[in-house]
Amino acid sequence: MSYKVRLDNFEGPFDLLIYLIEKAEIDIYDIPIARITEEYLEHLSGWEYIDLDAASEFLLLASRLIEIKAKILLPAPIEDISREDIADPREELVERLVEYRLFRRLAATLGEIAQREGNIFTKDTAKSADWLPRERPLRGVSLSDLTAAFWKVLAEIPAPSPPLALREKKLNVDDKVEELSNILAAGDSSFLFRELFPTVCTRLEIIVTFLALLELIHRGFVTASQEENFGDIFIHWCGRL
Amino acid sequence: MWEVVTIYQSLPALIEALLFVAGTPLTITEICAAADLAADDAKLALRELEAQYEREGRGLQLRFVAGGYQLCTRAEYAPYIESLLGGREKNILSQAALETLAIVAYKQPVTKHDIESIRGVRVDSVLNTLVEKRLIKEVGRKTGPGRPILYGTTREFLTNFGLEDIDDLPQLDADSSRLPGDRKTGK
Repeated sequence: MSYKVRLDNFEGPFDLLIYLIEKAEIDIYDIPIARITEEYLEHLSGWEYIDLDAASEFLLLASRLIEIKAKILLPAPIEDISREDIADPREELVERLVEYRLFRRLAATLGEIAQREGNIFTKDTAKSADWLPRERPLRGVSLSDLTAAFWKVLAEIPAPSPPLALREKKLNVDDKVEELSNILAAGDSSFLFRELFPTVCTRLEIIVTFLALLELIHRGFVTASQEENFGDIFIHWCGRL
Repeated sequence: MWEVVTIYQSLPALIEALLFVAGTPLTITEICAAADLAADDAKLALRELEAQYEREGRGLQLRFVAGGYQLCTRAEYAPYIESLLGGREKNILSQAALETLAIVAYKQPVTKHDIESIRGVRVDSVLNTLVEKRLIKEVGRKTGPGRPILYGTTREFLTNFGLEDIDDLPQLDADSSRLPGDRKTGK
């Protein structure tokens, strides 16, 4: 855990790398790449989870380090071997590190100045929005007053009523057949098809009602008629045979 | 002779009144225009005012910041002023903000990309914070693809950091990128 906390404090990959270099008391112009790469990767693996947004920059430098390490390990092309001015693969990285380290030091200097200047006030300082309100809203209120007030509020909250259990209405075609038979048998004339569907109902209820109706027609209890295309369908009760 | 003495006793007072009302740094030009003075007379009076504050050990001091003169309190009274005003939100710049500010201050004008390549991280939100705090601002566009925004420091930056002008920043000497730990000589 402490590992993660410390890692998260690094401002970026260069910050971490410089930390490692300084900790190991290594000359920045002669970095033992293999060792530093290993330590760097070790730090990254200490991350408990990887936030890709934040980690990508660290991973980019990791791949750069590995690339440099590989270049150093590979033998130079034969025609170059006698030349002394072969570019050090670390050179570009070192230049960037040195530049970053310079600005990190300048940042520290600016930080010191800011701290010092924070003690010198101008007329605008008093108007600045940085000041917290002066009044102390809790003046004269003791801890026990606060506790008592809190308990009072708690006591006034009504006890939650027991949860209302909603029973799911079980629907099946047989029950619906029974129900429709009763409705249709009780009426003395025919019904409109659409009257048989409750106005507020679920899709399942519509389906079950329709299936029940088909069942009644199939069994011959009911006939259906339609006078014109797309007109109302009339349902007639024929009675039980 | 009497007249001269009279003038130089009252001129510092006159300028003191102007500086008190302005609050922000006043340039010599602004002071001269307001008081109908010659620049030399104004400078002499300012020097006298500064000497008076020093001599009498006053709570105020006269400072030359951001190209102008400003009345400020002395650092040693900070705790009492804070107790008067009621405590302050910790308005300390983060390490990320300071690094970014340092790069803008020393390398201005710079683009976001310049800063990111030095710091090795994205700086969008830090740049916004610094712009919001009015320490940096857009100073133009770089010619070239995308015409990226160029950033530079503001007058508020100079005022906040007590700097006369941008050249007043702590100097980067030729060898300042080297630390005692470095043994080899760099390129």
